[in-house]
Amino acid sequence: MFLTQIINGQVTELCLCEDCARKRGLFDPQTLAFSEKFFPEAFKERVDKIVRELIEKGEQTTSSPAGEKDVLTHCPVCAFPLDVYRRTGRLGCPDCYTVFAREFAVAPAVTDEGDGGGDASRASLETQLREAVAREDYETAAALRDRLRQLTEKPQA
Amino acid sequence: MGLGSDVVLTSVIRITRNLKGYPFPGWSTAESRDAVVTALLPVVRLMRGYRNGCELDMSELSYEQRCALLERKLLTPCMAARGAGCRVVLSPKKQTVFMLNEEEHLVAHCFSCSYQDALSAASRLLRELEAASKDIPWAFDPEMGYLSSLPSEAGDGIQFSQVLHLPGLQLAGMMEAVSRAMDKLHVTMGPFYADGNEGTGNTYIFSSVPGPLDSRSEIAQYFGEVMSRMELRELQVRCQLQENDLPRLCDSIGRAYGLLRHAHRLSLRELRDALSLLILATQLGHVEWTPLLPSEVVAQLGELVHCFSVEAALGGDAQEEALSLKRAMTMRSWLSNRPHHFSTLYD
Ligand SMILES: [Zn+2]
Ligand SMILES: [Zn+2]
Repeated sequence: MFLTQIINGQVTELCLCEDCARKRGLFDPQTLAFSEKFFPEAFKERVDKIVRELIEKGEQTTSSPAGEKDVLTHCPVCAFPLDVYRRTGRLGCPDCYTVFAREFAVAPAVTDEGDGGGDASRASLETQLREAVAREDYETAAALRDRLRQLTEKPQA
Repeated sequence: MGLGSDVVLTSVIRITRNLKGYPFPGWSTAESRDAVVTALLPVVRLMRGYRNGCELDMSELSYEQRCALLERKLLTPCMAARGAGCRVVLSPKKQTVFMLNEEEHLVAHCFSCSYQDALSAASRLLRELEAASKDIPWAFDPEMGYLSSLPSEAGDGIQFSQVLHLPGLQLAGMMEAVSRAMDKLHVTMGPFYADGNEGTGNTYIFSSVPGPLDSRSEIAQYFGEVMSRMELRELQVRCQLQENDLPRLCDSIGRAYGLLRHAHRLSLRELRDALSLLILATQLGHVEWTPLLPSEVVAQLGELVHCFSVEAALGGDAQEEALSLKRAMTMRSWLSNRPHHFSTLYD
């Protein structure tokens, strides 16, 4: 219960009977579905729905922005897929920090002016948007959505 | 509770570390989890407070034992579902807990009703941990600090949290404003008891956002100040409700009481929300329970909320109907076994 999960420390109504836990892959962290663990199903669906509505336009969102080819899609040390990071905000091992550095190096300032531009910032904006919605921080979410729209409306010159 | 305040239910400080070169527990194999335990268990054993600690191997715990630990809040739900390669070490006084391979390789929780007590337990634990782990290669980056499975939590490896009961702010319709304010203050908040997407029981958990290295003591102090302001605000709002909005306050309390006293089926949400208001009524002196002291009643009601919540979490949807009958029956007999009367406000 406690913290982070205590990510944001709330007591999720996690059913712990052996059957359910096994079905969810909870007894074997190896097969653990990250999204399921950190966003109990109903919650995740809702988050996904809101994010979909918020993004509206950019249909082929995270799939393959240009320039993606020279980016590693898996951590060579632990085989963690970049994809899962984009969906869950979690990493696989300490080395993922170096391998995927580009993903969160762009992250912080949401409200700054300039168009940090590019696909990396698009992905990180989407991650931030997802997190903002999960936090129910709709103000930040709206700001992020507007920036994503800008990126979509005037694709790189 | 008891000596604690009417608002702060508990303070928790979470300390996390990861080993360099091993996948985080959520992405690790059984072998690498074992290797992490082999490296870290001796560190915990070296610490003074843990020499006579109780070590538990999650793979050897029965379902019932997990439930028991969960009920005593000595495990996180995440940890309770873990198996091979995951360990829990309890300090002899059960004031702190170490979990190996929870969400991070090493997680320690220090808890207490008093934020100050939790802080001193945490700083003692940090000092001992640092001494005991001099030779451990922690996953650490000079700029980002201690690396965590969640990049947004990389930093000084410590997080401060408090669980607050805020029925006054809830009744006054101010929770949205609180949540906006917390966002600006860099404190995250969420419902402590979630029912689907919504919180119930007017109970919230607030956490500091992990900061850069060496900002530990400032964050500890800052978070403590934000939380005392929250506590004060809640108490002020309760007074305002008493003075300016008494009919509405009494109506909410009276309805909650009616539900607990006479319902034959209670959903967990109804139960938590109603118990929250009965606790408020007891703290405000609207109900008297002689010979029991208000603080004793509040503690018992808080314990009921917790037990019903664990029971529902373990029972699952299939048992909901049976549980809802049982909840209502438990409450009816609990109330009829404790003489009580409402103040003249209710006549
Ligand atoms: Zn189940
Ligand atoms: Zn990795």
